[in-house]
Amino acid sequence: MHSKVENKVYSRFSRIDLGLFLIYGVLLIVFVLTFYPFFYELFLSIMPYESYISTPVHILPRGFTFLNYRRILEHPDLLRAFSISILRVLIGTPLNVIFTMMCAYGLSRPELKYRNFLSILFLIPLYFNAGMIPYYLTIRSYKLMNTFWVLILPGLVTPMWFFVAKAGLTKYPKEIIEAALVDGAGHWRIFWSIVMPNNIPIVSTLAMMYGIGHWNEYFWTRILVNRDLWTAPVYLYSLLNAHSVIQGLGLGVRIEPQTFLATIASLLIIPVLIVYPLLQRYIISGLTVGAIKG
Amino acid sequence: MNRESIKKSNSLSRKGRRDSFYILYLMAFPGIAALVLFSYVPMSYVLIAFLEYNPIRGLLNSSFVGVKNFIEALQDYYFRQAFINTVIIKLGQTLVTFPFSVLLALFLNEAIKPVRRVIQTASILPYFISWVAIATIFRNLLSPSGGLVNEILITWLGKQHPIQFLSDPKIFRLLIIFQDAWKMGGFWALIYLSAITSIDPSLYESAMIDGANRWQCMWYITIPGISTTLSTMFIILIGYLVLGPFEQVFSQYSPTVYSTGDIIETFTFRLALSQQRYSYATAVGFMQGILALILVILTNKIIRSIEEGGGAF
Repeated sequence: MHSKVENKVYSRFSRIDLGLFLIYGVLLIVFVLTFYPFFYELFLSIMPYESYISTPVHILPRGFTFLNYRRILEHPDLLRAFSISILRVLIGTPLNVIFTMMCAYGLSRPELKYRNFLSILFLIPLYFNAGMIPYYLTIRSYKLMNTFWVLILPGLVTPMWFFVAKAGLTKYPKEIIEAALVDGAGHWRIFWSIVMPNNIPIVSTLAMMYGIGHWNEYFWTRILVNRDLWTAPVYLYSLLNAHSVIQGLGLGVRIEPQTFLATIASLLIIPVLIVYPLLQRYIISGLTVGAIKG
Repeated sequence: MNRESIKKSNSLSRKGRRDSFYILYLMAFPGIAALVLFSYVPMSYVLIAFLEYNPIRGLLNSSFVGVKNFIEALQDYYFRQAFINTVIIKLGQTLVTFPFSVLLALFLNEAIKPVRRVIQTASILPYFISWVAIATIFRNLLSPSGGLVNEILITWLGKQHPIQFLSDPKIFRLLIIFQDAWKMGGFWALIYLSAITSIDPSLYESAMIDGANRWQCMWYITIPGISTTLSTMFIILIGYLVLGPFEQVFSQYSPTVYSTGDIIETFTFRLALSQQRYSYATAVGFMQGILALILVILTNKIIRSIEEGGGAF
């Protein structure tokens, strides 16, 4: 009798343990597969030339140097590309956030006529877009090619983030805004001193997602502007497909193509890693609204 | 006197209301203007799909050719190849990434909190990284000369020749498919995980009392609990079947892998920007857009019938 009970408990335990073993095993594999490539990229970027050359299999870091970073950041073209990337994020993101919030606020107010029509205007591009060439010809006809503003203006208010902002603002208690209106405050003042400060989670989500978008975008930048305005990812893209360019940069001396590419990629990855804790916090609030309900 | 003052204040407030009403339009204006200028004006350029557009002659002086460009596209071997590749790649990505991310969410849900947090942090990271940086990482890992995987294969496992991961057509397509699970899996798992957390915990408690084990709880409570989210997501993904993963392919493909890796977007891109065949490229893009539209509307209808009260967006 006693042993039977014990047996039952034992068998149940062992089954759970086996399941747990499987679960943690799979999670460990996922962790290694997603984390290791970034780790690899980062340690390649700080590997001195000598230890790179003398290692047959580069599976773990060996040696330490900032020389690769110095070489890249001393190069005028790459320095400029990173400066433009940073400028784009610093100028573009606040404009995106402010105009998206304004637009969402305007269209969430019941006294705005045609607001349903205007919301549908934002909905259609989610379903249909004209394609690459019409977009390109449009930009060209505006004489925006090769200007800094072509990196900022076209995506000023993205339908996706507009709907996230609008969904968030619709949840914001109407009574507060009504009370402020009765007290004589205008919408402009209400927006800046009530709506913006009280919806920091939405504002942060927008800032993060627009900011990351600016930092990562490369295709249209490559098409729409010339080399002087290339951002860092565009530069990296052009280097990916031309090893001769690496030699041409005058960096050929004592720097491996592998290390060189890893260093530029790391420069793109590190800023994301720095803001990553913030990103993670706001992505859930933003994306569960955006991706599931919109 | 009293009544007059009330009247006065009323009309004042109405005037104030009207003023603030204009302010609302002004506030919404920049966003709407950008939308019209950069999303709607391009739609009018779709017209050139029916012309033999010549950039020098301009829109008005180009000759009208009707549906010639569309017919040409349907007979074009390379367009059909790009179309088939797009569908295969997207279908493959959906069939790999979807189950993977569901499984990841289920497993993360079972893990203790610190472990869950660490794995989540690692698995969502690729979602935020530019495709160019991802392409660089994979280039570094898979390159035939100096790539880690080939270094291991040759130095440790004694293989004679490196594997051409990025220039072998067969491997390239598989790489593109599995890479999607790698980049997006953590992100989707996060969405499914947030659906799981909304399941009533008392269901698990009573199931445990009844002697259900971990897997039974997963199968009979968790999966049914998120089935609406799962079916919605799956159908959304199917809706985007004809829209290729442009940035991913564009940052990694090369002429040697066109036969399996060329998608409609990259095909259109090359037509227009290296061959200057604007009208033809627009026709191809337009067909893709219309097909995508039909698929998305269709799938949205299906979602609506699954869950009451609305589809995606």
